[in-house]
Amino acid sequence: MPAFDLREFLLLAPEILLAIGGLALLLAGSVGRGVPGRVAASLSLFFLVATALLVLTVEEVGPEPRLILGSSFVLDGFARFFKLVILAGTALTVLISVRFVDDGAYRAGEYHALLLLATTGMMFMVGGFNLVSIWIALELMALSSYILAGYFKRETRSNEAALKYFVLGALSSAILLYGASLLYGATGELRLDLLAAALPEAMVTGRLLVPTGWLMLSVGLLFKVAAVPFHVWTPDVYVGAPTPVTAYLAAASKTASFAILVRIFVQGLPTLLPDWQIVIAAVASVTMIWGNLAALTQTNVKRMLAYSSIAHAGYVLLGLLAASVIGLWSVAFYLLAYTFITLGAFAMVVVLERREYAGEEVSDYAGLARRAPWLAAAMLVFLLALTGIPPTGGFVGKVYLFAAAVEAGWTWVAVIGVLTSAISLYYYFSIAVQMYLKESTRDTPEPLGSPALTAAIATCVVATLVLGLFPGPFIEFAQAAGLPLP
Amino acid sequence: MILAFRSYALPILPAICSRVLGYLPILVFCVVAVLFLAGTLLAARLLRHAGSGATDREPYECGNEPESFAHDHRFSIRYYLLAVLFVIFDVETVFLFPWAVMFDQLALFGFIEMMVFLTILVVGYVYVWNRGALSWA
Repeated sequence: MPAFDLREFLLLAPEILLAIGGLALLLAGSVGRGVPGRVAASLSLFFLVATALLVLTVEEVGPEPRLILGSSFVLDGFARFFKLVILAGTALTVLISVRFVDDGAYRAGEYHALLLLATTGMMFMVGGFNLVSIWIALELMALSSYILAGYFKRETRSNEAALKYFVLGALSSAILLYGASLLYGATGELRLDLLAAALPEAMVTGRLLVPTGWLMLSVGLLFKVAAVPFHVWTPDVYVGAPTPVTAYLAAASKTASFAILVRIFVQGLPTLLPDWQIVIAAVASVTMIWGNLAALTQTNVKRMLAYSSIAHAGYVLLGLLAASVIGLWSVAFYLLAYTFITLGAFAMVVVLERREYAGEEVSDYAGLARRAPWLAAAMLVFLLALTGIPPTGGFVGKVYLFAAAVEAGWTWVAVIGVLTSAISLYYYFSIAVQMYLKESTRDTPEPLGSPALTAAIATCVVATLVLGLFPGPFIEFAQAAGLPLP
Repeated sequence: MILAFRSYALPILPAICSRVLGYLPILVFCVVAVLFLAGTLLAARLLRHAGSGATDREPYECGNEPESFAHDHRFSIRYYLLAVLFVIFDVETVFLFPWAVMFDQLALFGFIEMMVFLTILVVGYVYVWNRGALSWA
C-alpha cells in the first residue's frame, strides 16, 4: 500500500472543482424543468474561469516535474500549458453553444455538465503520468463526447454520429488499452519514466510483445487525433454532431489527444524513437495528402472543416516527428493557435446554421461580405489562418512546424506539408470567393448572431491575429511546455 | 532421439512431474464432471417413459398455446434503463466488497476515496430519479 499524502489532493483542486461543477450542473439540470440555457452557460463559464485561475495559482510549477498521487499524475509545464489551452477552448465552446442549446429544446444543464466532465477528463489526460490513469481520463473524455455528439437526440444525423463515434471510439480505446497491457506485460511498468527505463531490456526478453504493444498503442492514439488511415469516423461524426460539439471535438479533444500522444511517445517510448519516427513520418504524409485532397471535393462546410482538421493533425505530427526542442514547442504553439482558429471557423458555421442542418453549404456564404461585412472579414481571417498565410497564428505555427521537421532531417515530409498547404488554399478560398465575389439569392440564410457568439468570434479573431503579429510571448509560453527529450 | 531424451529430458523429468501433479485435482474434477453428466443422462434415459410425440415439442406443454411470436412485440425502453442501472450498482458492490475487507489497511485514504466514488454514483442515481426514469407509469 503506497503511502499517500492527503495534501496532494489540494494540487488536484482545479480538476476537482471542474468535476464538482459538472456534477452540480447535472443535478441542477435534472430538477423539474431544468436550468435555463443562459444560466447553465454562465455557471459553466464561471467554473471554467475559476478552474483556469486555480491552474495558474495552485499548480505553480517548479523546474522539476512533480509526481503526485502515487505518480499517477504529474505537474509540469507541459500539463499546465495544455490544461490552459483546453480550458480556453471549452470556454469558447460554451459561448458558441448558448444560442444553439436554446434553439434545440433539449436540456441545457446536461449539455454543460457533459462539457465540463469531458474537460475534466482532458485535464487529467494531459496531467496523466501512468498508462492506466491516462486511459481512464481518456475514457471520461470519450464517453462524455459520445453523448454530446448525440445531444440532438431526435435528429437522425446526430444519432448516427453518436453511434459511429461510440462504436469506433470504443474499438480504438480497446486497441489502445490492449497495447498498453502488452507493454506492461513486457516491462512490468505503467509509469511512463519507469516504462522508458525498462524498455531496452524488455525489447530483448519480450521480443514481439514490445513492437506489438507500442504499435497498438500508436494506432489507438492516432485514431483519437484523427490521422489517416484511422480517420474514417471523423467526417460523419463532425457533420452529424451539433456544430458547437463538432468545434469542441476538433479543438479541445484533438489538443488533449495530441498532448497524450506526445507525452507517451516522448516520455514513455524514447528508446523506440527511430521506430516510431518512421511510423509518424508515414502517417503524417498520408494524413496531409489525403486530408487536403478529400477536402477539395466537399461542398458542405462542416465536412470540409472535418477533412481540414484531419489535414491539420498531419501538420502537427511534423513537430512530434522532429522530436526536438523546437519540434515540441511548435506542436504546443500550433495547438494553441489551432484552438482559436478552428473554434472561430466553427462559430461562423453556427452563425449561418439553422435547425435541420440548413446553412451548411459553401453556397450559403454567397454575398456575406455585403450583408455582414464584419462577419465575412472574421471568416476571412480564419481561412487565412487555416491555410497558413500571414499575418495569422496559423502561419507562424506552420513555419515552426515545418522548420522543426527540416532541421531534424525530415525535409521530404516538410515538402509534402508545404505542397498540401498550397492545395488547401483552393478549398478554403472557395468560401472566400462565395463571400466576396458572389451575390446572395433569396434562399441564402441570414446570419444570426448573438452577443455570446459575437464575443467568441471576436476573441478568436483577436487571438489569431495577435498570435500571428506578436508571437513572441506565446512562443515563450509554449516553450515552458517542453518535455525532457531522450 | 531416445538418446537425446535420456540426456536432456530425463534429468528434469521429476521437476516436470511434480509441476504437472499440482494440476491433478483439476483433472479429477473434469473426470468427475463428465462422469456425473453421463450418469445423470443415462439414469434419466432408463427411468423416463417413452414420449408421446407432437405435444412434447410444443413450448408450453401444460400451459396456454402461444398466440404469436415474441419478436412481434416491442418492450418498454425502461427495461433497458433498469438493466443499465442494475449493472452500475452491481459494479459498485464489486468495489465495495474488497474495500470492506481491506478497510483497516486502506484507512482514511480509502475511506475518502470510497466516499467520493459513492457520492458520484449517488449524483447519477438522483439524476436518474429526477428525470423520471424510475417511475413506471
